[in-house]
Amino acid sequence: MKKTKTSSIITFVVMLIILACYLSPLLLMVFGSFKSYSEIMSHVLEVPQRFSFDNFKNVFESMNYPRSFLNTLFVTVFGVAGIVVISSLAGYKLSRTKTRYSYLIFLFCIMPMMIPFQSFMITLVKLAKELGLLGNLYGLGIIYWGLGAPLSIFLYHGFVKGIPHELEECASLDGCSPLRMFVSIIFPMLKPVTASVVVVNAMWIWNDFLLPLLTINSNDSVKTLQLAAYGFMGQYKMEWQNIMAGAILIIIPALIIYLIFQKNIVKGMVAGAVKG
Amino acid sequence: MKKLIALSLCAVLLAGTMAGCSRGEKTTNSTASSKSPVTLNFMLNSPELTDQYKAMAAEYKKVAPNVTINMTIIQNDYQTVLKSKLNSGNIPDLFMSSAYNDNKVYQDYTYDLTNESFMKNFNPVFLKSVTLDNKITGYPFLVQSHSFIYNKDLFKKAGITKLPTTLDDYKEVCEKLQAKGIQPFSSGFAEWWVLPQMTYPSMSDAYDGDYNKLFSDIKSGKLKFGDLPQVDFALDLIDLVKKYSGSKPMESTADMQVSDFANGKVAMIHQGSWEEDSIRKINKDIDMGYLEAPRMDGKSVIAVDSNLTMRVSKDSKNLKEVLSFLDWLTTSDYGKSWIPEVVKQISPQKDAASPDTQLAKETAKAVNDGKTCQWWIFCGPDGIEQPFGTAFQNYAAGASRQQTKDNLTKIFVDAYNAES
Amino acid sequence: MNQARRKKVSHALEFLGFTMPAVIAILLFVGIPFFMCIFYSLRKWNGIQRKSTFIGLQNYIRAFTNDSTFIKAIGYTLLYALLTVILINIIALLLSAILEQSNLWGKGFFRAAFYIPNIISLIIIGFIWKFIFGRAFEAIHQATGIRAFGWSWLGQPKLAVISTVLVTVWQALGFYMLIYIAGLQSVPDDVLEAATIDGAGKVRRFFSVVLPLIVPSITVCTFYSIANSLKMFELIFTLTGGGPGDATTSVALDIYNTAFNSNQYGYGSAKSVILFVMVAFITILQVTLFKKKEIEA
Repeated sequence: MKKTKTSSIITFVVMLIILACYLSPLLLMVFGSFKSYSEIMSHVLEVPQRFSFDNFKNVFESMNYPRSFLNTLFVTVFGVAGIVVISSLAGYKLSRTKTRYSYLIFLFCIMPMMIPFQSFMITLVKLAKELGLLGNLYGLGIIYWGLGAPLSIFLYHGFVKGIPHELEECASLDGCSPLRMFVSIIFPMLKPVTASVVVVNAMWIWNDFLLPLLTINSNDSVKTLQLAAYGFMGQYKMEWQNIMAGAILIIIPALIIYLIFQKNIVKGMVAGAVKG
Repeated sequence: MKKLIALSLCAVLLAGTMAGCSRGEKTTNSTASSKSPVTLNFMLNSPELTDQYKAMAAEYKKVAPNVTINMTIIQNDYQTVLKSKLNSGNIPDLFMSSAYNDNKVYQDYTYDLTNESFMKNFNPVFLKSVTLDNKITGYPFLVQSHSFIYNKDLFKKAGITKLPTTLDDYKEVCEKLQAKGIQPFSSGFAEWWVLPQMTYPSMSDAYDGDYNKLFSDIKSGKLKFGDLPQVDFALDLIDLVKKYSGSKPMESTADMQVSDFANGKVAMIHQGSWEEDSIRKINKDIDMGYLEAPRMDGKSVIAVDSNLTMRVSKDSKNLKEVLSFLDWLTTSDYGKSWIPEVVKQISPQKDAASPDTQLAKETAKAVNDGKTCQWWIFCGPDGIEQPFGTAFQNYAAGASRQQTKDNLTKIFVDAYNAES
Repeated sequence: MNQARRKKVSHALEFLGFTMPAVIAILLFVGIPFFMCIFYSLRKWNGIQRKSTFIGLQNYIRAFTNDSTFIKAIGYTLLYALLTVILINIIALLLSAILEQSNLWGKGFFRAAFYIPNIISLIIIGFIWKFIFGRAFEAIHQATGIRAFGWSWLGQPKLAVISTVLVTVWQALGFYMLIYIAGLQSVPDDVLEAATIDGAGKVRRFFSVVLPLIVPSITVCTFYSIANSLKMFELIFTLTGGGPGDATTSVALDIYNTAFNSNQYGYGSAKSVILFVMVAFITILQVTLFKKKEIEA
């Protein structure tokens, strides 16, 4: 018994040290966000002399943070919601249908995971323009449905394998329509993998830069946080203090989302990714 | 049955969403008379001028209150975004590009400004770079110069009295600076555009300045770019700057050049007149000037040209308003003073006031003394700037001279092959 | 007869109803654009002018015979992928095993903490590490005199390659740890107990019992990390810009440069089709091999 306790403590301490080293770059960034530009340049590693919130104030204003935050939030929620809906439906059905067509369609759905974004981004923008999806957040969200579906379908597909067929057989005996059955019985059981899908997609949509740059960069009122922060990264002057403060302001909401969902993610990953 | 209803509901929802989206798009561009609200979309680079662009837009609003100028100002992804916009039909009313070969590249989109009255206000020298087949395809925006910029105080401190004009002179100067514990250069080699820019003035005596013949010989294959003696000279220059750029020359970025120079950490950087404002924002009392870049033929020069060009989209729905704007920018009192006083750079217009900046004054002097060269590289094919810079970067990182020369030759061959 | 047919039709409609929204979205936003990319890969186009010329497979031939930068980029990308995939998976598995298998207090805390770098966008990570490799390392070097911190991590070609790998691993670790933790949690306790009773030590237990049971997790993580590392763009773009020279230019970055800076969009499209084939081939190969191992286990 004693042996396991000391080894636990040692493990804990070792892990803590590893973690501290691992996260030290972030600590540097946090420190930097409180310093002025000249202080960052001259006192790179030290704790800030004064914890000044000036950078945060500047960044908050020049990024138009409230507006950009709401824009990013809207696109993320709208995008993720759509992805969850279409991917759960498709992933479930493709997993349950064991025909050759189903397998082919499944392959078609996950193939985009292998295609580099640069290769189709210009033609995507062109198509988006034809469909009227440019310049507004709805359009961007809808495009995200198509981009996020592949990985999500993959996760749902795997998870569904672990759900016993008996459930559906019972439901159809009761005269339930497939859609009703899906919504009231199957989908609630998909909660763990849905949590994973939500977090994974929310993270990359929240942080996405290139697609918003190409589709909604014209209008200040629809800019996302990443686009707004881009202004600090100029060719001739890297405003490190603003970049760091801006980065923190962008990370905090994402971190909160993650912390809320984190317990469920693991369960979802178990079946979704593992059994896939 | 129920599924069908569900399916059709989804379809209706989707259609409704799409309709909602496209409705959002249509409210901005109206083509009615100038009194109804108009939004002009400008795509601009050089984000160091953001404040100045905003000032200009604000002033114009006072003159034409119904016109709103919507500006997209980026640098790093400028090419990507511009191309997407052009291809998706989302063409900006006005956008920026280089001069020279960009005239041909963008010819499908640019409006012919030859007959616009305000173009007469320009110094004809600077209209040459935007003329294609006798048509004026662009609006020259700024006259810019670049060469080695030096810190006068540091030079005094090192006891340097004669400004360098040859490679040997530069070497001497570097030794003197190092003896006083001053790092001579901040190389800027981490940026693919700084390296080649540093070599352009020093190669400008290629073919005795007959750039048209130079490039037609390269295009026809008669000459291999790598065989130019100026290339060896440029590589010597790179060797020199690298040697005297401290311990990590390959990591020096443009923003580091600016901050190290402004803070007096280094004595020389190769940069341009567009940097003066950024440098002064860090250290407003710095005393700086241009050094002439060395050349094989012994005539040292500063590169001066009007390369940044504004182009008007010929398919713009608001063509009249854009032209009115340009007319205002060229002829109004504020417009005429905007470049010299607000942007603080040199204007390509006739009789424009000279900006109150040290580099601009030295540029004017160099022009008067005939110690200038064109930005000749832009007379060449399109799209070579980045591979050119990468080839030089590879050399600075350790590639051999022959490899580099072969690379350079190949770059031009590929570029001309890619032309249609 | 009729009833059977009606059932078949209704099943088919049901299938379509469920799957079509996703299929249409993917087709519209990935399929068609990618198909257009293939179309342009057979043409000469600078991405700006309104016309393009058909040139058949010339772009593809050029990529393999007359483009040393592209071949070099393939070499770098494969090396980068190999190193990152191996490092990420081994380190993530190791850390996950320590977190799960030992009686560690605060597992949830560690799991969440390690994930934090993954929340940050790659663009910001590139900038931050640029600052660290440059200014911070310089300061550490001056303070401690340790040689390693004085090296030019972003300026020396070989070191720059390592820097890109390091930062990628750092950023991705938390995500893969999640999957491995999940996989480890699904190992049934009774199997573990049985092994302990049989006298197997911790390490032996891990390699002979746990590892075979989590092969599905390994398959997924390897697949995902391979695909992502072969396609990597944002991190390299902001961290090194592909430099010094083209030492850290990945295929995706080379495609970007070709298409947008050299104004050769048709050629860039051909290169992206090649990249896609490369990714598809390698990942399908990997998954097939690993799936075989799964059945045996």
